[in-house]
Amino acid sequence: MKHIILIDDDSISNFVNSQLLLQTRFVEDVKSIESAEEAIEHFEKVKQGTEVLPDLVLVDIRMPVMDGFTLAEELLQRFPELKGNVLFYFLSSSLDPKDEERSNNHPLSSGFLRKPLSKAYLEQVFR
Amino acid sequence: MQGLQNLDVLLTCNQVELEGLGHCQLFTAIDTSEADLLNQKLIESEKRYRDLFENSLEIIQSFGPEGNLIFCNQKWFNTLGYTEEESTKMNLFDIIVPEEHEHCHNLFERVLQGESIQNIDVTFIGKSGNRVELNGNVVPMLKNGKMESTHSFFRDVSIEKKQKQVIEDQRKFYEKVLENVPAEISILDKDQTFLYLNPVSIASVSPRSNSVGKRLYDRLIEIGRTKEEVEYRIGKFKDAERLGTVVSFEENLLSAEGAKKTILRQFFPLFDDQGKLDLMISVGTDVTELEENRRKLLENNDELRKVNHELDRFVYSVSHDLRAPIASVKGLLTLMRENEASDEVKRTYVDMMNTVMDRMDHVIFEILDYSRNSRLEVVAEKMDIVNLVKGAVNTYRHFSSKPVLLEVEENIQSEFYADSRRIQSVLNNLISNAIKYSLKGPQDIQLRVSVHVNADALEMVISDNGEGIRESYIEKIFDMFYRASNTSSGSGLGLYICREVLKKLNGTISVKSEEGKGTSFTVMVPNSIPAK
Repeated sequence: MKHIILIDDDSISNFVNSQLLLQTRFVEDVKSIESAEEAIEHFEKVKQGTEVLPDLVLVDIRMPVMDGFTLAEELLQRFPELKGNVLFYFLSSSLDPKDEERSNNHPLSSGFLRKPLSKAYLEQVFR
Repeated sequence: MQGLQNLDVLLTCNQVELEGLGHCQLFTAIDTSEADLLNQKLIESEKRYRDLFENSLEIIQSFGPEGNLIFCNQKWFNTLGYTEEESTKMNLFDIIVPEEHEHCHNLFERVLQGESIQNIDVTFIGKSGNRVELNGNVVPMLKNGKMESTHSFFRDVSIEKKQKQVIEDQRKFYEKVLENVPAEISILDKDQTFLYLNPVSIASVSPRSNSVGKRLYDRLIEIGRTKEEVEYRIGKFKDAERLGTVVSFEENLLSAEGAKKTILRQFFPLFDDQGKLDLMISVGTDVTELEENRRKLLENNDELRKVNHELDRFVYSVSHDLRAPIASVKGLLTLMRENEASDEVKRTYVDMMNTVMDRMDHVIFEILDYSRNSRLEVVAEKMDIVNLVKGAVNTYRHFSSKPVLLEVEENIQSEFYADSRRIQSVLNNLISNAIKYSLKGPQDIQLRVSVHVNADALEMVISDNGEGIRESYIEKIFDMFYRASNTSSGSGLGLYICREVLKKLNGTISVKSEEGKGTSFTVMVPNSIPAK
């Protein structure tokens, strides 16, 4: 897992998470994206070959305008090839069991990560 | 004569002159045995009648024209308790209760005129004051065309009357219950013919009709029920007869006054000894109000479920919004602890923590705002809206680095009274949004606020030249936790609170927006000027 994309409207959260990821042994670069629309644009570029295909995508659930679930739906429709080729995790500080359930059930999903992330937590998940 | 026989004879002796014989004594003997026999028979007959008379269960009495008691039988003594000696001095009116004296006097006069009167009701009073109710006949007795006495024959009907009274009381009791019970009660025979309808039944239909003797079918058609309704009801009648149990069903119909009604109708079949239908009792209860309450309850239940669901969502969303800053701060702390960061980098981390904490604080304020609105009573007080607008703009000016220009157009025709705390919360939300979501670029932030107040209401329009709202999001912006902009990380509660506040104040809020040009919110709040 070298290339990672973080999608979260909270810029501070993005900053903290990218720093944490960069400190783990297996990450080479982290791209922070702050809205679902931008994320779609980015994957468009990936498809065109102007951006590199990420190994891991972390998507915040609660984002304004388009939330993480809607984005996942959108991505699956536009880029079905992502399924199986990219690790796709939902990310949230939510304690709502429904959010976790929906995350785990989404066809694109690899699982649910609860904020705050920590190095230990990340290493445990991606070992 | 054969043999010897004693004869009762009447022997007489007369002196007579006979030619040739001179004075003679003439003896005549008359056989009197026949007359004795007759006499004997008379005595026996008298005894027989006296027995009948004395042992009669009726009171038999005879009064003279003056009302004096001539004779009476044993039953009379037994009933009234007087002695024979006392009875000799008694008058008719001594044994009649005072309240019937006048009536009896009239009757007695008529009898003295020679009239026989049957079926007289009278109450006697005995020696001990006991009252005895009697019924009987009085006849006049004439001798040589002259009124000699009256004979009367009375039967004790006290018990009979008491029983009759009990039955009558019972009848009245049941009638009272049936007439006053607030339900339609009718009784039909096995051929579906009405035997009884209580007043509620009669009044429940138009035209009002007492349908005793009519058949169920005819009555229902007469009062305008449709054929389907009639057949439905008759079907239920047959069900009750067939099943032998109570059959209940609801009918929706129009009352005699034309109001919509729901009637719970029940057929109770009663069977005779052979198990054949004897009577059918039909009871109709007006359950309109009950039905209405049930409908309201269901509605409330739905509403509660919705509120509950919203509350659930609210709690999770709030916990999310409060946990997100904590997650960031914890991350930043980890970074500070584990890295050998320069002082400058550390300062950046602290600034970030500060921003995050501000946001958290803001969320807490909004939650309180929301809670206050739903919890606190609405209090109307005099307010200066224009001043509040200016104050809010000054408070939130620092949200943007760009200059904020405010233009106020006012048209104040009346004092304005409303809940100032709630109005303040609406103003704060709308004005801080207008400043926060300004267009990227160098131009100044322009706010135009028009305030119109008259005796009825405040109408206020707050317009900005900000980023605007995409048309497809407009509908959702007042929803709880909905965030339509990527520009700022609000909680998504602000406009929801505005809408809830205005609901509480019986006001309205609406929005017009063009993406990239600006947004304008129109707020209407009723003027709650206190009545003088």
